Amino acid sequence: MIVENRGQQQSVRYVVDTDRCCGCKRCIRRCQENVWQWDEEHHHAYPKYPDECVLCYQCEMDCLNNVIDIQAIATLQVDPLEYSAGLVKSDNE
Amino acid sequence: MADIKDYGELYTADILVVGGGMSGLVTAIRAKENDPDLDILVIDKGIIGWNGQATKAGNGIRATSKHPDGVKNALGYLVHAHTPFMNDQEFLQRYLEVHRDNIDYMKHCGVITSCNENDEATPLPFIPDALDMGGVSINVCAQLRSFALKLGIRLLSRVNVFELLTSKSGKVIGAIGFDMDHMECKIFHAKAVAMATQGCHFKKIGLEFMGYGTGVGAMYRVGAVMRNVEFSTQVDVVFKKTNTPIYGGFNMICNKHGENLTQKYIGHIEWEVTPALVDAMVKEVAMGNGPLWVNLEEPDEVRQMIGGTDMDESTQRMFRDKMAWEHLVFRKTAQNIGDVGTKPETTIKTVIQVEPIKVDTDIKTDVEGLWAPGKISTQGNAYFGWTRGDGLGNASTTGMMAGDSIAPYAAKAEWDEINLDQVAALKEKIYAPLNRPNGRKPKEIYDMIERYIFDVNKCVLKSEDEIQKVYADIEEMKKIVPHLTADDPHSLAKCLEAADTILCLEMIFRSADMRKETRGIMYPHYRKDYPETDNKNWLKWINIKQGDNGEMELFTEDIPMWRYPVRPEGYEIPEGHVEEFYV
Repeated sequence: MIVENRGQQQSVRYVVDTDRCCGCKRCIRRCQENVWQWDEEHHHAYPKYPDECVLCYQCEMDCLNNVIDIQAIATLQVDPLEYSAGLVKSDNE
Repeated sequence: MADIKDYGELYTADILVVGGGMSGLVTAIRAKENDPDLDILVIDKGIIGWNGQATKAGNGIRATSKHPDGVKNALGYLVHAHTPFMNDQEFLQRYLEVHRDNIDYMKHCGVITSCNENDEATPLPFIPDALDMGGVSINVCAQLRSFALKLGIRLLSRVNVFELLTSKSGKVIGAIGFDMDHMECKIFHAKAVAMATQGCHFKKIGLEFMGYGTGVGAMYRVGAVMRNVEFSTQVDVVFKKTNTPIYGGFNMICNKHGENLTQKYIGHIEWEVTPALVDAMVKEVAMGNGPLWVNLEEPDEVRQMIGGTDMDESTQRMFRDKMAWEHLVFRKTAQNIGDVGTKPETTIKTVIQVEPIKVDTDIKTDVEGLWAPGKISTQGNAYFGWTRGDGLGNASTTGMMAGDSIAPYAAKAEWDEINLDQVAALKEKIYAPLNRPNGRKPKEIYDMIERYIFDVNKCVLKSEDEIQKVYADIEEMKKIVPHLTADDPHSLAKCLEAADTILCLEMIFRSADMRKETRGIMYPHYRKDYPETDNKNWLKWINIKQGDNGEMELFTEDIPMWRYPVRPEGYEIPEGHVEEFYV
């Protein structure tokens, strides 16, 4: 399973080998942003709310079967200096 | 006749602790050790033991030095450290006395530390005989959880609380919320409540772990007083590639011509990122002198001292499991984003946080029956015990203070009756977003707020004009709230969090508007139109509370410097007061 988040300052891709999920739910236990949920039908954990991720990697750290790979795609989508400098320019115009 | 069980599942306890992170667990443990007969319940929206900021914190834990002058030395440092002279120094004195036993108490509670073979922490080199530091395990909350369970403290995970229940006299007697898996209403009845819920953070940024203001909002609505909210912005200089801090590298920033910005604009090195440096960085980029960069091959003394290049067990006393986690984060970041190199581009990362609850020396709020340990009251007392990297020390020390106070209170307190009409009204308010088909999403609000995080003219270098623009946006955001829609426990929580985030945002800018001066580093309040510190007119706290008409009320309170040992140079006791400390 591959899930990507969007709309945050950082964007993240979750690559999860759900077939090998042993059901320990350690990822759910560790995540305080409620990213991970349990899929009752298919019996594996999955990142249901990926937009909430703050890139702590602790789900990956705790995963018993090592089936989670968190891949940061970008950590900064808007540079605050460039954003603010742009405003300074327009204010002075 | 209506029954409480018609509204939700009822839990009772002598003491209810909302928030099962480090401060909440320490509050519960300390209270239970004070009085083992008390029935104590800790609840958390996540799984208790693996959640809370302490489980994600990058640094160790502090304690006041056991040197005979440790408290005095630390107090002298802390009053000047971040928001000069804004501290309640009587609070700070008491805090530092309790803080002396902080690491020892953590060890007593089963927390694994990295003290040396003599069981001693390491003195902080830049504040002699004032503060010591030790490392703690990344699993600090799991260790506290085990200890709490052994004492007979009850734990309830995956319950999110959004409002407090009050008696006829206004005393806090419980809380209401829902469980995060099935959205069932949960009602809590207690003699005393401690809200260890963290503050409010305005944006999800990598490796920043904060609350969403729902605890602040709940306490505001029952009458708790907020303080020092204008000191809410922290800026770090970061690697542009990874958005992670270049610890201690802020005096080394150069423009594309190789000119050093600290030399060009400031003239002396600083020990924190200052608004003047942020101003200089924006100016340089605006003039086309970017990209800005740092030369890591030639670290200056600040970089060498706090530069993150020596974060090992022997010097910074980082505990080995925490270091393993940090190495995983660094390795994965480098693997996915690439190495930053030795001359990386730099930018800023702004963090806005509100932790405003005013508490007394017992960590008790102005509301009967309500305590506020941990990060949520840190700002309320002007970052009283906070030195960079001691969020954990603050959590445990305020937990110890709260536990010592709340236990005897709860032992003597009577049960007050729950008002069913209040429960019905609050339940309806909490669940309202479920009954709004095709409404609007919290993301609209967070996207608006995001602009403030990126715009230094709104969140760092404030001015009257910019504050007025924010007020207009806040009104627009408030209009969205009654239309927010949810369809599951997660989105319902997000809707409620968004509403309280707006409340916290308004607190910041109302306070910043009122304080017509500039003060502080680390969490500075900077006004471009009032760029000087004004000790003559602004040795005052700005307090906030909800007025009788439901509107936000701000009022100032003179800081009683005449009772305090540490004062600004040239301070004169105002008319109507006499010297009370040096007598």
